[in-house]
Amino acid sequence: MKGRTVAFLVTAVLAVSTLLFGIFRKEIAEVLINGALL
Amino acid sequence: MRYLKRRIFQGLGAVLPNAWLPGFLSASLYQGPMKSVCTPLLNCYACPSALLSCPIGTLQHFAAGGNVSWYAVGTLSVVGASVGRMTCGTLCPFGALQDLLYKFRGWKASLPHWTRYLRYAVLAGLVFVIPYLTHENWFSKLCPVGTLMGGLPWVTMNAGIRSMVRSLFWVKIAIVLFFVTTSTMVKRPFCRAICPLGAIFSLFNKSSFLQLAWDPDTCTRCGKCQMICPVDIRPDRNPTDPDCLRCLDCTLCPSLKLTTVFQRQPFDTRKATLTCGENGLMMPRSH
Repeated sequence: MKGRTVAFLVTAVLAVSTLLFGIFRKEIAEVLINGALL
Repeated sequence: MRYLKRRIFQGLGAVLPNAWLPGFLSASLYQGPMKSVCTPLLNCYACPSALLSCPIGTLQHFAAGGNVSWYAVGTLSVVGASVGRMTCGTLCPFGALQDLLYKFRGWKASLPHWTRYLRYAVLAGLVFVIPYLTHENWFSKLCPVGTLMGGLPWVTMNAGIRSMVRSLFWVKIAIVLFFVTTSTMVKRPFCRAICPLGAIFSLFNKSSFLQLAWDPDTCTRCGKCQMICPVDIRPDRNPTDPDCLRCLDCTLCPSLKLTTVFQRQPFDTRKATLTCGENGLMMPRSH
């Protein structure tokens, strides 16, 4: 179970970092345009 | 009661991301700020009432342009790291439709084990590689959810779009009919064999915050958990199975329960000791 806890913490940090990187690259605007003007 | 709760959540999963009802009246897409949010469901953003964006459509759009959508990958990773595949089991409207279709009486079959790997091929091929090579969103073109929520409403409402219907539309209808028919015989065939979103979330089942825990001391291996499981797996053999939708139907059994990754002993060991039989064998608690 300890290994799984470490795996979760690593996954969570990577997931949040990836999301923040996407936001930092201003991808939200492109997602909005793609979704709204299909 | 537990089933009813899940059906209510599945209903909310169908209604809330598609709550822009003026879209049906004005035959236009919602273009507000909510469209910048990727829903953790396979929910077509071409649906006239769609409020949120489809994460798989977003991934394909970026792949077709030679990029990776870190925003969509990050959104799905955060959801996956939190709850694993739980959104598939408790919120996905297409999953709910397949659950209901399986309730039809008639001939039933099980899906071959190897088909579970197809969804990873669909994810790699139709969501990343082929869109990158052809600059077209090929999964969206064939997606049965897109046909039901986007294609059919638009063709029904708009004469201009109706006149543009070509052979691809009939291929999409055939795909929908195939999955509707097979769902009456096989438990959730699309989720288990094809869904690329399920493929992404299933990668997180082993390391997500929420976990399914199994108590070997009280389990009688009766196999009833497989009978009620919507994806036909044995949670007692592998509680972190990548196929597990975390629908929690199997937690009706006291040997299975929802826990967190930080919980060291999810089951009360004192209770298990109290059920110890006279000859020293562990006896199951009353189910």
